[in-house]
Amino acid sequence: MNPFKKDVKNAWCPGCGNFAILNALQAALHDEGIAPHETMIVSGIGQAAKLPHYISANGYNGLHGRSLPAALGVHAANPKLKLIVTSGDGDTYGEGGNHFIHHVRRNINMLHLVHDNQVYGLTKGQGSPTTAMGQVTTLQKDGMKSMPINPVLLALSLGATFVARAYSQNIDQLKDLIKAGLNHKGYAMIDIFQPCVSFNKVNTYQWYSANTKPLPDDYDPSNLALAIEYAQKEAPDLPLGILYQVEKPHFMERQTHLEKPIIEYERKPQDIQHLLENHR
Amino acid sequence: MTKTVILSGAAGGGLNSIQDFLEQSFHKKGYYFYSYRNYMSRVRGGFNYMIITLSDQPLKTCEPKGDYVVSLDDQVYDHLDELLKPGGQILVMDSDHKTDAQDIMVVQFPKEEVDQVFAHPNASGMVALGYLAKVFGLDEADVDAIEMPWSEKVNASNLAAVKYGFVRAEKEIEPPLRADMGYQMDGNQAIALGALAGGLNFYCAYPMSPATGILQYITNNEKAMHVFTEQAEDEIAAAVSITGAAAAGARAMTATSGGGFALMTEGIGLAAIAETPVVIANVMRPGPATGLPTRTDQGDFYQALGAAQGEFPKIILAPDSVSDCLYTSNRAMDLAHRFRLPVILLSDQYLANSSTELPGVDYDQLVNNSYLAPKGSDYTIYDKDVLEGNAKYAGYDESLLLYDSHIHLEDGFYSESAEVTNRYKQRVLDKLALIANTLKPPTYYGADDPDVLLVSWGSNRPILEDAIDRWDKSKLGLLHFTDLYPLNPQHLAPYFGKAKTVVNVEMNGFNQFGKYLRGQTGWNFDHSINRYDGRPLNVDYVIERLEEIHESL
Repeated sequence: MNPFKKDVKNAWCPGCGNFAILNALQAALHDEGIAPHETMIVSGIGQAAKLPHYISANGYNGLHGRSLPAALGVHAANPKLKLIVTSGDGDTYGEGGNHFIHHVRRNINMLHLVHDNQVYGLTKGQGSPTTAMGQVTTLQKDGMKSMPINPVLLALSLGATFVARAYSQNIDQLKDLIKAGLNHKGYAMIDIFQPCVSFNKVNTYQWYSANTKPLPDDYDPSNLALAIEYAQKEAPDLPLGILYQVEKPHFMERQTHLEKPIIEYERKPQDIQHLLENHR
Repeated sequence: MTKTVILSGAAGGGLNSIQDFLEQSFHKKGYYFYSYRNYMSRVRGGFNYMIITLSDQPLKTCEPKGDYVVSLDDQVYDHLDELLKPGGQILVMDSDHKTDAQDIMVVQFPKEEVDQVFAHPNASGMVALGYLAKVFGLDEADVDAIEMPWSEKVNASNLAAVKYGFVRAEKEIEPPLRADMGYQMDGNQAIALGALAGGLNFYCAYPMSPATGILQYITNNEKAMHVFTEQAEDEIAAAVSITGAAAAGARAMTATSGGGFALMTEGIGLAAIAETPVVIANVMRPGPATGLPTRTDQGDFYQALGAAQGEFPKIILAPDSVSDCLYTSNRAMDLAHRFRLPVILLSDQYLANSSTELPGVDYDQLVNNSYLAPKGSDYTIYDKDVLEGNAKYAGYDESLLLYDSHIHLEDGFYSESAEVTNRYKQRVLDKLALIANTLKPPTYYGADDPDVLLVSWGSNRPILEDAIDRWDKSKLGLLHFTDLYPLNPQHLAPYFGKAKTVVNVEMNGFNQFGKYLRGQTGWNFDHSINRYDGRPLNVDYVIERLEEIHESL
């Protein structure tokens, strides 16, 4: 029995790609021998962001676009918690775009799962930052008039230390990528293609299956130039797998004044006395 | 004996350093002091001035005008009415300028000579420092003891300039020579220290005048206190990060000014419904938008009261002095954790940039209480029967906690049911009623049966008390609030009808708190004293308006 399974009513649409992501995450956490109370799952708002309600673990379902700042707080308070952020493409790259940029710079030790269905689901089908130019949506009737973000290329340009792309239908690969991300020391980002069966009439299961390809067997994920080359590939050659991985000191390793989690230091009011002595 | 020194000149001319050195030297010599920085939002140029009031008695505020006005350039001649007391002295670092002003004494230093002797461009300030040191009875040894932070060469040149001024002055005032000096600090530092005493271990903020001093102070001391500090990418991130930190067990805080606070508001609603304890300080400056970045006011009470959508529990506190910044910030941290909600601390630029002496620190008033449930106990994060205490956080033990921003069930699972929504609203109302009975009632100062009752809040208290003492203590009273929300109307009952005339005093034009008080209690004010030009309230200003009101009665 997987302790991360939770018996609750789920509000996702039947056939939604989110189910596969939830199952893969629960399986990967259990396989890695992590306990639910050692885990914190943080999200923003959206369909993907409901995930903390559907998994038996500590959870934090906050505000649209703000999953990463909340995750920063959780991690700095207690880096011993296994930290996973799970949110959608609109949440992460739209409302939370500024946080995403600066969060990558920090290289926090965590796994970031972006459920990228290239459309706004919860608000019923408007374009998202990853919707293709010209694609017709429920709001953009004449098609999108802005260029889409390329999330993996953006992450690479910001110096992300683990950048991967997955497809929710390829469950075994998704689970392996989640495990690799969980074991990465630093910020691990997986942009996961996930069909929205209700609102994205272009990027369907059929479309993703026809337009994605695993990275070649001899692909070298330590080569940044190669990663940048592959990240720019477009349909029908959208690459799946670990595009880039490098080990660098992570955020809390750079907090050299902290030898243990801040919550483990005792503090009493009189401890300010030695600061007061500087005010004599 | 109370004398005031004003240091004036352009930004970038070294005024801050001279002020720091003078304050420290005067403080060590036993003077009580109260200083305030009046500065423009620029790095170079303009006209800034620093007020330092000195006395042999404790001070509640500084005087608006100086007995000694130092000018590092000749701009001072345009500001004499505003800055110089009748009969005062100007020390001007330029010998070319003539003034027609009578009854003032002008001490001019030959700027060309000063510049020639001391190659350092900011030497004139050091000459003034030396001059004032001598006037206020400091010895040469006191001057030698000034710790200058620059290179050996610059320090030596500056010290020589200090002595150049020192030998050209006469001792005019005998220093108090106390032995029991307390601690010298500004309002921002006091807020930081109060929070640290309350266990603060996570501080994340975006720089914004005049709140940046809090970020600076906590970051400077992060190693000694084992605090995590971070400069966030924006105020939204700062406000949300503290809720995440609290969810994982930290004692977390952020600070900003009105514009940043506007961005933080969604985090405040989040903290309330997710029940994560946090402290958000708004060090007020005049708005709207960019407003007056380096000036003071109390224009954000409405903003604090209405921050974030919906109805939820929160607490608003406004410290009344530099010393109270320490205690109220400590109390904010305690209340946040006791009731698991956001506490808003409304300070202002006047307190932030006021530096004075705290006679001592009363540890009986400082707490770092734990409100945690026993480890291993049965636990439901939003237990309907628990309104205070009995907290856990993610990772505390094997209990699983689901923090949520929706209306939710007791276990954190989202819900859209009418019954659950009603239960949440009842929880909000019950918590606010409980808190209203917990917060501090207003304080009263003045006559038992006043003709005129002043009503005010926050940093105005010491100034209004001084004004009452100076005007007519037998006729005036002050009802003053530090705990602004939620109010307990019963606390006010003893003051209803106490005076024929009620005067509301606020540093804004809308009488924001006065109108809120009227809404809560039906109690009206007859007149108001308002200041909203960005300059701090002072005793002269209050007395002028009191006289106008008195004549109209």
